[in-house]
Amino acid sequence: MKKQSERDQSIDALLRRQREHLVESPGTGPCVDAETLAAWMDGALSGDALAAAEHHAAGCARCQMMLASMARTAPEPAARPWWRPLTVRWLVPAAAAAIAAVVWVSVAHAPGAPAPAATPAPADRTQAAVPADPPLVARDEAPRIPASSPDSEPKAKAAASAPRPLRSERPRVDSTSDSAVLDGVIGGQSRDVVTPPPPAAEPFVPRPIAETVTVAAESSALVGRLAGRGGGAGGGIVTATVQILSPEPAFRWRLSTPAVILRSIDGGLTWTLQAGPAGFVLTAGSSPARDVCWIVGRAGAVGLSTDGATWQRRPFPEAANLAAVRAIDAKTAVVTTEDGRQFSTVDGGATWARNP
Amino acid sequence: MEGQGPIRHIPQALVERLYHDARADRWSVSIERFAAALQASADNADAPDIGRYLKGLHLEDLALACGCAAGEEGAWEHFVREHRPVLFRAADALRPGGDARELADSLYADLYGMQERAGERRSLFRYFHGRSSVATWLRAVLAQRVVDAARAGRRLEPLPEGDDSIESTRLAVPAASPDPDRTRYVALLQRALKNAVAALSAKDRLRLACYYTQELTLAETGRVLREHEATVSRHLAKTRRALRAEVERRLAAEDRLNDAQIERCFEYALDDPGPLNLGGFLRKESWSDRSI
Repeated sequence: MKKQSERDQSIDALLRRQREHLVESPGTGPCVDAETLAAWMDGALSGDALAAAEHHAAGCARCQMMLASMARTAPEPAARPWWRPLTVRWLVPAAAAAIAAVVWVSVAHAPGAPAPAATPAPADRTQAAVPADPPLVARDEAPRIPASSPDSEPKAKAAASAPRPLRSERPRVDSTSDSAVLDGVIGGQSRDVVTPPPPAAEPFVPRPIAETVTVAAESSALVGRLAGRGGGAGGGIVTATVQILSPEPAFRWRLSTPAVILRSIDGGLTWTLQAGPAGFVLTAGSSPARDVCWIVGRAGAVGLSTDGATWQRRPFPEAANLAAVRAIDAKTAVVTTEDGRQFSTVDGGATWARNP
Repeated sequence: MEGQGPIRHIPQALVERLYHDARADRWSVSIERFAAALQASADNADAPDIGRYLKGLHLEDLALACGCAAGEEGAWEHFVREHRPVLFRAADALRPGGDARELADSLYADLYGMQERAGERRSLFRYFHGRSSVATWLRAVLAQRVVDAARAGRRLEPLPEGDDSIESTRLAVPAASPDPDRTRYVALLQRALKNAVAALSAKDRLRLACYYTQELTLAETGRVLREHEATVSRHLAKTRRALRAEVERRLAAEDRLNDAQIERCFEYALDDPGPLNLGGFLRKESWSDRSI
């Protein structure tokens, strides 16, 4: 007997082959009119009205085509700037708490540690206390510390006591959209990348472009090191990343402070470091297709990749800090500045018009 | 769909409050005209609580539609400025470089109301009742026209030459098979699958149709069903398992096939090229790339 997965695959293949038969049963009642269709897509249908519309559309090719058209042309939710709430509301207290936690863990509670006043080499101690390549940590769980760490319990307590971004403060985690989401949303599950301060004694080792790294083990550390290279404040206690999901979930990008661009084509299992436009401090991105991605940043930075591999800087009329981008395709995108103004392009970023 | 429900009177105080909330005076819409639009919307819907229903409407968009329907210049300027790009983007997404933009442009004449009846302009806006935003409604009207144009175009196209080719395709695989029951097994499985699909709930069938027939992505399918794409994926997997079990049950119970024969049914069906999809308008090539 075949395994269950093989059976699922066989029925999947048959459904693809028999797709025209899925709408053979005639729809009941009249077709859904445009006004009802619009109400449906805006979530204004409920109860009997929604059930009736679904019942009809389940057997009506025309209505299914209209629904498909609506789904394909639905605008993406506007991406909120991921860094603003983090920076303004949480970065300072989070950094202070994390520093306090590190000091508390490494100085006061280390086994056999001398009195704080006699601590000679904080850098070495920090390096010993924090693993070099910390794993990704789920935001909604207590941070997981490697079992091998002697400081696991105190660190977990300290981290748990540190302020954490509220769920409602984050951009909506909706992988149906292509907009940027906060802090490494992978496969619909929220993850944080928590990186330690870069060890003072560890020099940055450049990695070749297009190197594939394993996300759980290496990429977070890579991001942390690259962030450290960019001079993140104090080495960056917390490095937030933005993940950009394309319509095909396997294809996604990850941005990290200040200008690190990673791409995955296997749903986030492995990531490839890409060479982005120089001098960018990235804030948000939007991927309307698997190989198309728009990124924006501070000081009017706009970048576009249309092949999923290379990036081109696009001119922008102002040096304004850009907070969000919503892309329709490789030609059309809407950019929102930090102060709420919007600019549109329909020619791939060659020209921009301010939206009224 | 207009004017199907029972006529229910809207209290004047509520009309005035909604008129104020909608800022309808921006477009020089009279309160009488706005009240008529509210009444038409309420009559169209069958909401048990009319007050709650009306307060949940996209009131500003309804006021804008009233202004445009009345030919108010300011309303039209605002509408064209705000919504023309939306319409064009939707048209481009539906048919990149195709005729959807022409259809989008042709909407304006109907929206403006070139035809008159009894001295009153007959604007397409009279079908807008505020249950959705104007932008979504415009996309729906455009989608309707694009789909109808595509279906009409398909009807006019000659059938592919090919009844002979259909037969040759269908006969090619069975002829190479040593199993004389192959054709029968394929037919049995296709019938069982069709019946199993028909027995699913409407929501499950719609989800299957969106994903398999319309070839929407999981995310797009989720937009239709208002589900997260992970939920869509879970439901699809669950439905596939249920279908497989039901097909096997039907083959065993109705056609008296044993496990080995059922396995062969699936094996042969997967090898079989299947009937040509004459419902060509459902095929992927008639649409933009699904990833867009």
